[in-house]
Amino acid sequence: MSDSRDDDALGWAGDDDPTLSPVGVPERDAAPAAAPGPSPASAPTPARRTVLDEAEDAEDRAAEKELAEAEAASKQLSSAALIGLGVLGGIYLLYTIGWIVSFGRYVTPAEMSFGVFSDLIARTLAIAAPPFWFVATLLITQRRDVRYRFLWLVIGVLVLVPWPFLLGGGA
Amino acid sequence: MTAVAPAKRGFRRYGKGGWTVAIVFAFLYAYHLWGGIANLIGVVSLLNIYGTAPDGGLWALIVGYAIVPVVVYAAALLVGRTLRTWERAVVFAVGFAVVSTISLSLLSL
Repeated sequence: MSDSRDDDALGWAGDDDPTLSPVGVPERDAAPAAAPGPSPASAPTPARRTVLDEAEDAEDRAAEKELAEAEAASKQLSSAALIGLGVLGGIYLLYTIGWIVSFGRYVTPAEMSFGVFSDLIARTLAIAAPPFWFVATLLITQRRDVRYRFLWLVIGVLVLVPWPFLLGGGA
Repeated sequence: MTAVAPAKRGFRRYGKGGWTVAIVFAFLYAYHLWGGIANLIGVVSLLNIYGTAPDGGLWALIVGYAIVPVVVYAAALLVGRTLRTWERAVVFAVGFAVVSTISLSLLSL
């Protein structure tokens, strides 16, 4: 039980002055229990959010989202992924060398006909195919999960095997 | 309230630019297809001259050689459904080189 004299000991005259409310403190902190009924004249009225506040909040959210996207895009690959990419890149390099050797074994006929010309084009394209596949996969799967990148690189390893080089023929 | 248009799916996403790229590369792939068909006709007629018929393995090789461009083109068309126009062009170009690779591999077998 406490009488009014005890309560007086815990307060100072003028505590209810609204001008003493700290600057920058949110309104709900300054007035924790906003009663639904009519507020007493001494309590500060809650400030309404203006269109400018909403616009600033929206701008902040957009900036945070953009920052998160940029961080996700520039996120570094894990060590295992980097090693995997290196191994696959090495395989593609070997394939390119295999196709170059296969091209070197080809004996160009003395008479240059359209068939010979198209054959040379095909062999040149075969040399370009492995590095082209590798770079194109890295470019196109930039915005996708790293699993897609590895899936397409493995498909390329299966498709681009230099059989003419492995079988030893000059075909 | 305005109704939100449904997202385009499948080949409807190609648009004019995408189809232009697809048609231009169709002509390039047709060059490979023409070579494959010419090879098919040439091999069969040569074997006919010698009075022999190609066995199953040889048939598979020469028919495979002929249809490789069609298969790769269809695959590039499917892969390009969800890509941008320049990415589709890259896929078609890679596919064009891949046709050469597979064709030479089949010839070496």
